[in-house]
Amino acid sequence: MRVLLVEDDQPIIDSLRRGLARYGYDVTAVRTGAEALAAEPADLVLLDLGLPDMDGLDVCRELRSRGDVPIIVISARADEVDRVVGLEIGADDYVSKPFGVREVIARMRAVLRRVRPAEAAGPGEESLASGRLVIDRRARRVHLDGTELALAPKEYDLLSFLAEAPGAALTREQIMEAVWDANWFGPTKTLDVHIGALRRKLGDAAVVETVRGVGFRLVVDQ
Amino acid sequence: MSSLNRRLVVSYVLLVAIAIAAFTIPVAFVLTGQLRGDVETSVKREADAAALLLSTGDAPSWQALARLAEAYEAETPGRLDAVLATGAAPAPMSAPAAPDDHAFRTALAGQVSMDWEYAPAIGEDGLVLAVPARDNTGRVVGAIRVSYPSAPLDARQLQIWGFRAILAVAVLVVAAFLGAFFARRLTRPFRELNKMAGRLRDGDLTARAEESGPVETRTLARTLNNAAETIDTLVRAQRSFIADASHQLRTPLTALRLSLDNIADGVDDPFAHEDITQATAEVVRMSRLVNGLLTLAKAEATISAPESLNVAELIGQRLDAWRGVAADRGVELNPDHADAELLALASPGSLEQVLDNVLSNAIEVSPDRAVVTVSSRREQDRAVIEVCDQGPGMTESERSRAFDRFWRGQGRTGPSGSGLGLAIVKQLVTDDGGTVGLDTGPAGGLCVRIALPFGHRR
Repeated sequence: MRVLLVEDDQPIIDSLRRGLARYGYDVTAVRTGAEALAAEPADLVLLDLGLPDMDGLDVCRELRSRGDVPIIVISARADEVDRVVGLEIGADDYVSKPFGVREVIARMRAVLRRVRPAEAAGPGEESLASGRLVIDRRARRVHLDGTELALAPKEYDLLSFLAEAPGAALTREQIMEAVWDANWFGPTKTLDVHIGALRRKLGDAAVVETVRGVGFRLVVDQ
Repeated sequence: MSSLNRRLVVSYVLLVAIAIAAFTIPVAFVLTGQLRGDVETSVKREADAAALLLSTGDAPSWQALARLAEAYEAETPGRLDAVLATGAAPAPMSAPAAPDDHAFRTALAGQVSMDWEYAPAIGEDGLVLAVPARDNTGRVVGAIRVSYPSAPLDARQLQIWGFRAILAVAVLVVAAFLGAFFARRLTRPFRELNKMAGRLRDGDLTARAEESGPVETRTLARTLNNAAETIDTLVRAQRSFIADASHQLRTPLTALRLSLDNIADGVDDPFAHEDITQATAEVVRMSRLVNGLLTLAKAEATISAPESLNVAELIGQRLDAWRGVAADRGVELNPDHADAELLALASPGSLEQVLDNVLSNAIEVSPDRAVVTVSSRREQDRAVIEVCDQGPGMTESERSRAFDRFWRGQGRTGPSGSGLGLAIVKQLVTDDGGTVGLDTGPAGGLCVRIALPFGHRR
């Protein structure tokens, strides 16, 4: 899968290119808006809003007018306004800096699944924990040992996001942003409540582990 | 009418009143003296003429004297009496009333007597003038006494004073109206300045005052405009600093985080993994600090107009949001409102964040099955909200430092706390003109007391 990375910071380009390459993504990196518009079409665009030559939002608008390539906006400014404007003019998702490799991959997978359900891998069902846990993303249903789990919508969203990157530590901030579509500083207790509920419902099939000082990780035995 | 307006009008009226008094009262006294003097002169002239007739001593003269006395009585309110040295009245005049009073006695002794006193001849207060009548040798042969009442004089005087008083009142009324007009003109620039300052306070940093009017207000307007300009520049600078700082700090943090992830994916050594996890946690912690600082800086740079909010309703919403977390920890949230209609003035969203930060701390430090009480009541012109927990509480020295940035209570809110929660609370409450303080609760825990200006129903 080809990914176009539009970002003006070289260290981020280098690290992200290496990190994504490990998970099978072929990254083409450009550092300006003009290069981004001149680049070969890609399967997904990661677009930083702070570009040296033009406003990242203009690049986003232009790319959207050319076609329906999935666009994930990345920005160092976590303002609510930026997020709303970015999504308004055609971005498919919005990731705030700083983020880890697995976090951005989880977001990319979620966006691809949402934008192109037809092309998504398999029958839309994902099997985890040697088949004990099955997530049917089309029907938004989860089966544990063959029985359907009664999950609240946000609990499903949370499990679904954690399952995009099993074993990876995801920060509270990234989980809040992906699941609650909100970037906020301060208490993230809502998250703890939902994690607690999820743990009770999942039993021993999958463990939502607390990563001290970071956030949570979904651990499943394959 | 503003207080300055009223003061100006009062001082105008007072000045005019003083001026009227200064010009009128001395003139009035002179006038009174002059009126009396006129009466005295005419009475003296009359008495002198009568004395001449009396001193001649023959019958025709006395006849003439009697006619003169009759005519005087008929034409003036006064009365003219005569006595001879013997004490009898000269014929054909009748005997006077009180023929041996002080005035007659003085005159018969050869002196002129003139007094404003009770006149027995006319039975009321007035001028009593007596002159001696002397023959050719200078011997006193009799005396003439003229009594002239003071009542007509008093009436005339009252008339003059009354007229002057009415005139003075009329002038004062005109002065008051003119004063009010001038005062309004004079204070108009102040009202304009106040309007502008109000817009500035509500966050409209482009508000400028018109530099017009007298020199003083023009100078004030210019100073205020300069201040607004400075505030505008500073706020803009801080806002752009926030934007720059968030970009400049988050970019290297992202690169660091990505590199650590790459290292973690490349090594199998469990010890190295532990170190990488540790390093990642530190990067995440630093990111949280950056976020917290920027939130604080944003709170400092944000100016918005406070609105009247229903305290009980808002607390209810926040408690609903937190009830799940509290239940998870076996903590009960207990609202206690003295007045369900209590209104507080606060910027939109800020009281919610304040309550979130305070409730988060309270629930965090609460032991199992403890109660967190959120009470609200009105105290004078303040709406007071108190959040009390049953946790370990704080010592006095801890309480004095708890609002400092980066201060973290020992083993209280865990290692993930940024030490900025209460600093943000203080910033937000202070921005809305309120105060926040810490106290020991009735059950030994900590009480956070938030006092905001009392709101008004629209």
